[in-house]
Amino acid sequence: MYSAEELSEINQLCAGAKLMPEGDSVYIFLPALKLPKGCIPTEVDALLRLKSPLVDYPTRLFFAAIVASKNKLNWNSLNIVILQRNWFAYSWKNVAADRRPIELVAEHLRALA
Amino acid sequence: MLTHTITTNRRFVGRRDNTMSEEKIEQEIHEIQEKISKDEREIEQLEREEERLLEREHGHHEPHHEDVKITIDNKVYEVKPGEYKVTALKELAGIPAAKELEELIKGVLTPLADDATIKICGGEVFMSHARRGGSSNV
Repeated sequence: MYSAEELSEINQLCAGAKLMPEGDSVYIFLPALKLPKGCIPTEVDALLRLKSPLVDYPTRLFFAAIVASKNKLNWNSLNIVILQRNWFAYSWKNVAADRRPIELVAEHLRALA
Repeated sequence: MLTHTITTNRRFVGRRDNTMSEEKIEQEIHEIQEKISKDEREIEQLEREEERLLEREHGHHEPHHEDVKITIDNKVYEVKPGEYKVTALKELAGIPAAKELEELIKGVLTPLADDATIKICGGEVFMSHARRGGSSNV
């Protein structure tokens, strides 16, 4: 589904990034993902959902904590348990999974920039 | 008297032998010094020749040494260091103008405006992505 090259590329952004499937869903775990300037915290564990039986969003970026930024976002997913951890996500639609993982992360992070 | 004369002659001969020996040694030293000087001149000439060849070799490869590597969308490009417009980098990598270019600065993805100028020193990492996402109340 995703090439070693694509995973290597996302490791440039976040060292230790790894593919983590759970059930029918596929995630990339992003440890200590550095967030755009002005965000609090400045880095947080994140989880990029690439594939899911859910049809709410084509892809989603979950965070281990709610992130404060200059933009008012709709944090509509709170304490969602995935891979035995609680996650938080804002609503950010139309990011289809037909791009490289790093592109997807960049597109989701654009909401915070 | 005879004994004295013989002794004196022996001393004289001995001194002359010593003098000759010293002259011979001096001559040998002089020859060696000349050889050293000659060798040194040859070494100097060879060093200059080596320096000239190295300069020529350096000059020949100079354009390659000047190029630096940058990464755009996981592909490596060799460019001259200096200032570049974001649009020029997009053009270099064949990225459509509609896509956003970001630079990975200290692990943080930093969006770049199309009219921004980026200083390339080598080692910069860029990636592009389509501006597609948007907030919703879903």
